[in-house]
Amino acid sequence: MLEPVLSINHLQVSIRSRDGSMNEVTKDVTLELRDHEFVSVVGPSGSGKTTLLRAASGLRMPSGGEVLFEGRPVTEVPKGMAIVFQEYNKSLFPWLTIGKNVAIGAKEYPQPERVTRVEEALEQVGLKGFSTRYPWELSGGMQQRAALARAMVSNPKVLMMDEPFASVDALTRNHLEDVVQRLWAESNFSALMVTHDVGEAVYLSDRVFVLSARPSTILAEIKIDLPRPRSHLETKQMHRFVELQAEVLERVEEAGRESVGLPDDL
Amino acid sequence: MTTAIPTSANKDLGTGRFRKNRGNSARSIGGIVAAIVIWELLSLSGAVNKNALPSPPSTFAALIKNFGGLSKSLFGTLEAWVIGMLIATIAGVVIGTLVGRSPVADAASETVVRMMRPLPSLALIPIAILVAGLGLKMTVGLVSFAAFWPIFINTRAGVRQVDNRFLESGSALGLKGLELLFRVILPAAAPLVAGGIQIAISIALIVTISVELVGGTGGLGQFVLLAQQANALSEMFAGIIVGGFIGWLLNVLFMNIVDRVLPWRTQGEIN
Ligand SMILES: Nc1ncnc2c1ncn2[C@@H]1O[C@H](COP(=O)(O)OP(=O)(O)O)[C@@H](O)[C@H]1O
Ligand SMILES: [Mg+2]
Repeated sequence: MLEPVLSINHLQVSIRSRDGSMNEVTKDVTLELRDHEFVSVVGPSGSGKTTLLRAASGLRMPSGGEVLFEGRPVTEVPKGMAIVFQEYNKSLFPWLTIGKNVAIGAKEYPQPERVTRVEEALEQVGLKGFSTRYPWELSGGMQQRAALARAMVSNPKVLMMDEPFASVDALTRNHLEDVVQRLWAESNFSALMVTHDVGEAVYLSDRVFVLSARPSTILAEIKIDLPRPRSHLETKQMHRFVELQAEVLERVEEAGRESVGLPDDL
Repeated sequence: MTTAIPTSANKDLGTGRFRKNRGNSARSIGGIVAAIVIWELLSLSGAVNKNALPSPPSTFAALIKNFGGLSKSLFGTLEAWVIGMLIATIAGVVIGTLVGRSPVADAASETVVRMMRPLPSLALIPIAILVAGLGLKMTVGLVSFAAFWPIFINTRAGVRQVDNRFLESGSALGLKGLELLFRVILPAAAPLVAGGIQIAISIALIVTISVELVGGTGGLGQFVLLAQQANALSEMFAGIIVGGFIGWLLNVLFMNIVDRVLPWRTQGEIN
């Protein structure tokens, strides 16, 4: 069997809080991302999704376990990995135009090719002609598409996404989900997305992992056997979609109940 | 939803909150006219000693009569100002960046900064004269010393307070070291640096003219000093007005440059 592009093995992350004590955010997370697979991790707010994604991408040193990207340990964000953050207005650089923002993603390519790649990437996300505009001149949805273009322009093996659609309105979100789905189908990268939105995770993914409350572990893995390509109108009406969504939701609610339950030592 | 921009930037000197002043030109002209009217009324009414306040017409007459001398003096003042500002800006930005990005140096410099910030540079004029003697070198030295602090303090704060999400974005794109510094940290700090430079512009001008006034080392300060010694009140006021005008002009010019170079400075906060 093919070796996974990204493996997260018994990842543990503790964060030193202000008073100096260690706060265990991620306890034990193991998951694998295979070639051209779309995997989501869902969990309630504060369950440590962002922390998990940071550690898995090399932005934060884990306290235990390991992350392997194409078999090599991850110590910084590896070449071949791109990240889309939740807060597009703090991830795109406001001092650069859209074109120059995207060009940073393409900095590994020599100059004549870089320009064409940037143009292609912008076209892929429907931002052709916006190259000379500044991020703050665009709507939230357009900014997130620009962030997506900046990630895609490097032709990554793995695309990491931290609640990429959480900061836009519902209609824009549907549209962005389909942009991501199309990009994923047309390219050959694997995607790892963390989100609190169960419907979104089921709609886009091949597998969905459910995270427990903090300190987080994997509670369940659910295989999403819905046919592709998927569409909001058709897929979301399928009996199987409703079933899968209910199944994931049930596990997420379990995690939620755990977190509000009384601690053992009371 | 989008979170508010942290206003931590406002804790230090010069919040970088320059106003868009284009629509305000009518109001500022109105203000100048009003000031001249009050001035005229004061000097006419005799409320202020005639020997301390010349009338506007005689001042403007002196301004025109001494145009040549004033221009030359102004040039002398600007020479010291420009050299002092250049040194202060380069030193302030470079040292501010180095200190701000090094936690050890940053902590160590905290006390120095707290001590230097309220120190009136004008009080150093006698010491500077003793140490360096009179002349351009001494003026430039004192001007750059005084102008250095706001630029250093704001640069240090600016590079230290860069939003972590910008830094993570940079790391995610494979930027590190000098590349991260020049493409993320310094641009992100630029509005605060500009705020420091703007404060320094006025401080440098005040110090330049004051040194000239105390030391008689040429420039507008010496012009005013000589006029005072000759009891030429209108000339003295003409010199003061030119000083005020040039201070205003330098500020406006700088704000316009900042608006053009950092267009995202204000717009970024709207989103
Ligand atoms: N930089 C940090 N410093 C201190 N605590 C943190 C930090 N980042 C995250 N945490 C802790 O980890 C918890 C989970 O955060 P996060 O990973 O952002 O969760 P999620 O993305 O699922 O909402 C937070 O509630 C907080 O207590
Ligand atoms: Mg999060």
